[in-house]
Amino acid sequence: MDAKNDPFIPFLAAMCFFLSAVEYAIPKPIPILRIGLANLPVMLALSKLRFRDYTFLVFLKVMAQTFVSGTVFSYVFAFSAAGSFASALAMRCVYQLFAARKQKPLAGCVGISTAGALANNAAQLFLARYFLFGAGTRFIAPLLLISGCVTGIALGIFAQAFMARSKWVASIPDGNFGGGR
Amino acid sequence: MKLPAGAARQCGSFFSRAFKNEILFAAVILCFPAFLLQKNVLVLMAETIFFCAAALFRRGGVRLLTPALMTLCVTGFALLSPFGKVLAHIGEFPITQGALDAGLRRSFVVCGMVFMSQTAVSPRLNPPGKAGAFLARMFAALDALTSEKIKFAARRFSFTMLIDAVDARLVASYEKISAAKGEEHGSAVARERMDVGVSSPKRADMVSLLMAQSPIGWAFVVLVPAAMYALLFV
Repeated sequence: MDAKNDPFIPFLAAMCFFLSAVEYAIPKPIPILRIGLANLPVMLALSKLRFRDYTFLVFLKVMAQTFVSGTVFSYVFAFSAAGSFASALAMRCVYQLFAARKQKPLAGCVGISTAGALANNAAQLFLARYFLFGAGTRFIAPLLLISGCVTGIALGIFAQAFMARSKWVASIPDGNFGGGR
Repeated sequence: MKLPAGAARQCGSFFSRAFKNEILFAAVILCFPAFLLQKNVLVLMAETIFFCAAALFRRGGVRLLTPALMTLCVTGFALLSPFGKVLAHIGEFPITQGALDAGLRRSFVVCGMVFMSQTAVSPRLNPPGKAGAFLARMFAALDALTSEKIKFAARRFSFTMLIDAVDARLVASYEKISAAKGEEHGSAVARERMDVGVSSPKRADMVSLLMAQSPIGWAFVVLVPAAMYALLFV
């Protein structure tokens, strides 16, 4: 299957766009808290796309999130991009190292999702520490990390159940774009 | 909401005569950033209504109940975090300007985005270039994902039922855009492109495409994005 002609990447990008809009519509008590719904298509893509296409999907997700929330020309874009790329990289590493094994995988969707959420928060805290809040970042760090764990676990549980049951996910062969993982 | 059959046919034939699908698609894509960056809630509401009307006339029908319910829910929840000037009280509960604006903005962005993709996408869309083809497929997928309600098989809600319903929608939407892609590949234009080994229309095709658009169509695709960008500064 050819990545240029297959509708899989545009389909996942559309899911990112839609879920970003849904997440944007959900009110949050603190603006920095995120549920991470738009991470679901990225998690679904872990076994399906080679790294280059996977990175492209993450880029589209960042663009979708910042366009939908109207923050494309603000510092929020840098936070969103740093968090999303760190999260995507962490999820890919955990997937490659622990979950892609055929026999006895050491991590499932919950582990991958939690690693992604924590990497996202770590990247954002790093930026906040050096560019925005300075030493005061330590006061928001616990809240951010705890909420990251909670949303990461919740999303991972949903993704695990969805992937186990979904006919759509099963219908798309693993690593179908050039066979690379 | 549906137009009467006769009116829907007339509107459909007007749209196919006045607009080339690719040019209308490009114009709506151009409008997207102006829509999403709009801060004024009244302008955003007017733009959402405009694209709702455009989608209604283009397709002969749009779903209004879901966007209306979503607007009510999102705005209602946003009001639970009051900030800004107090406009009124419902009992002890204050209705504040900031929360109302935030809730309305969020709901209009989500609803407007759906109406815009419904206006932009048509089954015979074939924009030039790889980026054009990618965007067309992405918006077709967005359209397929949001075109119908997610149906639940039973009345009693459960987690597995939710997963099955979401999965059924994904299967149907993916089949729809895969089939559209197959038709595109089977079309005479696509075959001709494959024969000559190019991925975008020839310059002569582009010129004929531009010439085929009617003056009313040109007025729409030039004035609407221009007005939306000008309204960013209101």
